Amino acid sequence: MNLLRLTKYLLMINFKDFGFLFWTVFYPIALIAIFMATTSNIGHESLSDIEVAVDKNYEYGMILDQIDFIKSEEMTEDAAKNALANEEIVGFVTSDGNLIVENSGFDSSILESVINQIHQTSLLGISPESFNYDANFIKSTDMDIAPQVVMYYSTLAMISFYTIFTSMELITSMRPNLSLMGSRFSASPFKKSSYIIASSIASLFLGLLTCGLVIGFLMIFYQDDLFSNFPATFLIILAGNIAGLGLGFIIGLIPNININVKSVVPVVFIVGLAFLSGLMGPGLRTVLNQKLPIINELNPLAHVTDVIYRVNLMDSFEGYWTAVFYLIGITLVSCIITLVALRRKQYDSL
Amino acid sequence: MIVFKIILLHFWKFKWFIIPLALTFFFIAAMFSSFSDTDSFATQELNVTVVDQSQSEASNALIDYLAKTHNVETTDEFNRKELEEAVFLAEIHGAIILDQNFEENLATGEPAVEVIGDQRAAANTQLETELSKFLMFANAQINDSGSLDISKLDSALTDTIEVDINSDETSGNEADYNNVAAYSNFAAYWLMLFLMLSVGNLMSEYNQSEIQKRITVSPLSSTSNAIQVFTSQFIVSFLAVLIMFSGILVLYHGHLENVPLTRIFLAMILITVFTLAMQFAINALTTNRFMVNGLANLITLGMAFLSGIFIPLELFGDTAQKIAEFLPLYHYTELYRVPNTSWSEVIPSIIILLLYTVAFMIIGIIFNNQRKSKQS
Repeated sequence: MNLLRLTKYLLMINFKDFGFLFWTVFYPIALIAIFMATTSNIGHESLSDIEVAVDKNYEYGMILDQIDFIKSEEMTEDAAKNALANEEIVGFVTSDGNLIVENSGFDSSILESVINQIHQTSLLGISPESFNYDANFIKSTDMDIAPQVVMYYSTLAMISFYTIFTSMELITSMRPNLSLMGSRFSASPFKKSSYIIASSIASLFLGLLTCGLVIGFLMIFYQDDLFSNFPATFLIILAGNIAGLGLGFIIGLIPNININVKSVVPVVFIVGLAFLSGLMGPGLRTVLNQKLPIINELNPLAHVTDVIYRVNLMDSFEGYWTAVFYLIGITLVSCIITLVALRRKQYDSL
Repeated sequence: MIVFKIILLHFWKFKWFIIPLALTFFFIAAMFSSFSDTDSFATQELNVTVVDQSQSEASNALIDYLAKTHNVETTDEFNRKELEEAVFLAEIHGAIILDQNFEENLATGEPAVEVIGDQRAAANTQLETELSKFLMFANAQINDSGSLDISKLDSALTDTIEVDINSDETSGNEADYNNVAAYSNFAAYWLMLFLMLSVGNLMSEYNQSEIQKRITVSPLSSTSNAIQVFTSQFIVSFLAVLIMFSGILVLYHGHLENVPLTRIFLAMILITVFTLAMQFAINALTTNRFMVNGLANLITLGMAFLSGIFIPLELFGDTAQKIAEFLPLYHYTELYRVPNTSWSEVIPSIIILLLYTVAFMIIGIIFNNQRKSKQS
């Protein structure tokens, strides 16, 4: 009963702190709203026709006209060079079948491939009737990619770690050398374990409430279904919240630094981890996963992000339990370190 | 100069978050830099995963052909979910599955290859164009002579046309300029986050009523106090700008031709002064560290996203693009967005940044005076 009452009072204290409410309620919603406003068009850009100029003496100019994604017109070399410089066309095919482009890129590469094909067809030395232009050698499976979804999941993963702030505050407030409350605690017979458990329950509740608000916001305002497997999503977010608690305990233990300086550490730490896991777009995450995969293999936030999209979008549980146990492992190690660091700090052993 | 010294000493407390933050930034910037040393055309390299279920001579020839220009990873294990996930996350441009009956299908004109990719993307068109070419040529050879002559096919496919770049200056310099511009974009985010967190937390402590009451009863005049506070903040900010700017000189040494370094430096100074003014206003409003940290994160992340720092503005919707034009970070990027613009073209952006700074200074002074009158 005492534990419940203590939890209730701690929750009430937090709810009365406008700054805390801003950080846990308004900030995540505002951030998600900004992401949704800016990223709604990402992934919806489609390939437009590739504009190409052709010298009138190029003998295969007619073939280019028959290709779906190419729009060709005759032009002199000088006019084409001007058009290239003004980015009106992607390339110019000279009379001898070579290509002039403004710069390297996807469109130039596609054009190069097409002109190469025309050039190489004659080199094969095969009669035209042997070419089967009607055959479809490729079966295409379309993946409607939505890179912005990773950003939303990464934001949710980031928010699930925000319990780090409350647990850091909790431990700092219990350190006699860091806070007034801590010195009172140390000199009183108040049970430290009750306070830690009650605070952890309260911050876990607040963390889950924040995540719930973000999920609700995304479910209401995002057009597609982002959370098709809610129980699995809830479990990984719960594990993320618990891991956040553990990491906060460790940061809270840092000695001789006041809480204002210390509070910067989790902000930078979490934003950094979130960036590595894809918060600012998939580019950094892709480069990292290709060049230094170990970083995101260790990054707990990347585990949460990966698992959320796998269970919800890919219907896959690959790596799910590894992520859950990894997060719980972080919490256990953090709690053990915290208990060792805090022991023998009771008033009768000081 | 006691306030000046104390504030600088307080800044020193942040060294253990400044150093890793700066190192991480430089590390990421270095990883992102891809230098172009030549002015020649280069085919766009695609990241492709190939599942070869056929293990035939023809499938090997196809893989060898693709590997000449692209980054090809070959695997024998077919895990569709894994491939779809890699495509979905844009980790690869496409996945190619070569059917068990690859050679037979190639001969009969049946689908021999499955491509998993985003069909709207240019990369997918490039991949399918190159695959089609190989498959059509191989099929034509079989139709013509009854068998596949891989050496003849390979020699035809390696005989390519000449591709020239229109203007000699663009290719290499453009890539270098894009690298520096991307670095400068991220540097602005870094500077804003660093200043808002460090100055914000430091000043929220300094503005506590107990300390302010002591300052009020001390012989220190309020003008001297303000000058010392701003000077110390500016010195730290200027050092941060120098660190970020020297990053350009070190990381991109030898690739700075055509890069508007003076304008980038000015842009960094202006965004720094703007951030200090904005933080001054925030600190006049609140000393709550949750608010200070929350606003620092929200403003820097939000403004960076809305201004096209992380994602190109062209990908935004019309409304988001219009909102971006009102934001200071957008005008920061405008200062160096086009390499060869004249100073007269960027003056409006400089004026807008200065006006934002003045506006936040005025807001800060008003709220600061209100706070002081409440305290007294």
